[in-house]
Amino acid sequence: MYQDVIENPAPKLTAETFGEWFDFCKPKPQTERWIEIAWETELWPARQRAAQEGKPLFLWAMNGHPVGCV
Amino acid sequence: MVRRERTYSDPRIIALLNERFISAAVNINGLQRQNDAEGRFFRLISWQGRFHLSFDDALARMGDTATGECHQGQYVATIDGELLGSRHTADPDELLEILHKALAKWPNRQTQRKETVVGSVDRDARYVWTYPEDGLVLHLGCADLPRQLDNWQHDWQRRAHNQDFVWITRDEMLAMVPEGIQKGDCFSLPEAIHRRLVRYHLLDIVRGETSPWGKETPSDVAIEMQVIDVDVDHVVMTLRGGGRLQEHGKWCSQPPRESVYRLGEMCCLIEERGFETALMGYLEFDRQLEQFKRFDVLAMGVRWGGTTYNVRGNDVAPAPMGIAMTSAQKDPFSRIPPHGTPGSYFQA
Repeated sequence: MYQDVIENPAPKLTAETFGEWFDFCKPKPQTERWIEIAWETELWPARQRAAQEGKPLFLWAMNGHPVGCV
Repeated sequence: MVRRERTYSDPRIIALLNERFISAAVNINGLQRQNDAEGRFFRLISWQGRFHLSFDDALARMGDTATGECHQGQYVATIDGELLGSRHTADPDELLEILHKALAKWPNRQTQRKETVVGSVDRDARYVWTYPEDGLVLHLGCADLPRQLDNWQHDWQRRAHNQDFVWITRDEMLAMVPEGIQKGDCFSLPEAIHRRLVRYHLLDIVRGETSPWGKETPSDVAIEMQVIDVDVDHVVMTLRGGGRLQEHGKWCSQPPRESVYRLGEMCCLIEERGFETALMGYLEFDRQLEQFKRFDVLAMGVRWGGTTYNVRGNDVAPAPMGIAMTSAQKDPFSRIPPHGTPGSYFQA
């Protein structure tokens, strides 16, 4: 599957191009609205809070952490 | 990750979850296997929701840690584990419907705990992550780069990006800045960090998580640091490196969401994955605070192929990808553990 002639090559990584591509790739969660939800990131503390506040639990359960690498 | 942007960035979902629910985003990798009260509570809910067992049947099955079934999904439940709604959807309208139906069931729920305190949990030690408070935590972003030949197929894939966290303990971090280093010195990354970075973080996770590189692969990538400036207060270094990671296997790709087939049925087999990358970074260590003030590293190159879970079945041809790592914030979302399990991650 690897090819010596690549139709879609990567840009050159140099001191001059570093900033542009670093900014392109770095995570920008503050620009996404999903972080406005008051997520608990573990199940048991969520269960404890749900008991205290008398509310139903909502679980978003994924293979990988939904707030991290999923 | 499409659900973060599409489903949970919908203002109707944000408002309803914040007002009426206690929301938890959780990783099933541990919860499906944890031999503790937290794992049993999760499986009590997921056996009802994903697999349609009755509450009593799910109670009988919640101790099963050996299940090979995937318990991914969205669930609404009482604190006693009674299911009020379930779906596995990225469609915000479908999720809203589930949430409203669950709220309608809430007044008539069968389980009704009188006490409002849930005690602490003694977690299965195999799945306990300890955040490196005095160490180094990096926030990693991963994205496809613009292509000269535009061969993307779907909108969400065009915009896909993912994130992860890199954990380095205090002792490991200090080993990156040995005593007595001089301007101009060149040295390799400490082996434990090198192996972890290569195996767990030079991965194609743009469209979804994937398994780490094999144990033999770290030697295929060279990473070297050079001291640019040093005095009693700080050490400035650059990082350079590169190599080709390549692995052969038999990965059955996930069927598309709309397919009637499940994983393993009529699959498209992928037999290779690779990432040929260059690395560059700028690091500054504060010797008084014993912390990195700057740790910006970029890996950029060409990836190809895929595995079962990273949704590359229709995009296996070589194409450019970048992975950027920088110091993480101190907010709660930045304390999420890296992908993997603690034992294999720290002993990479």
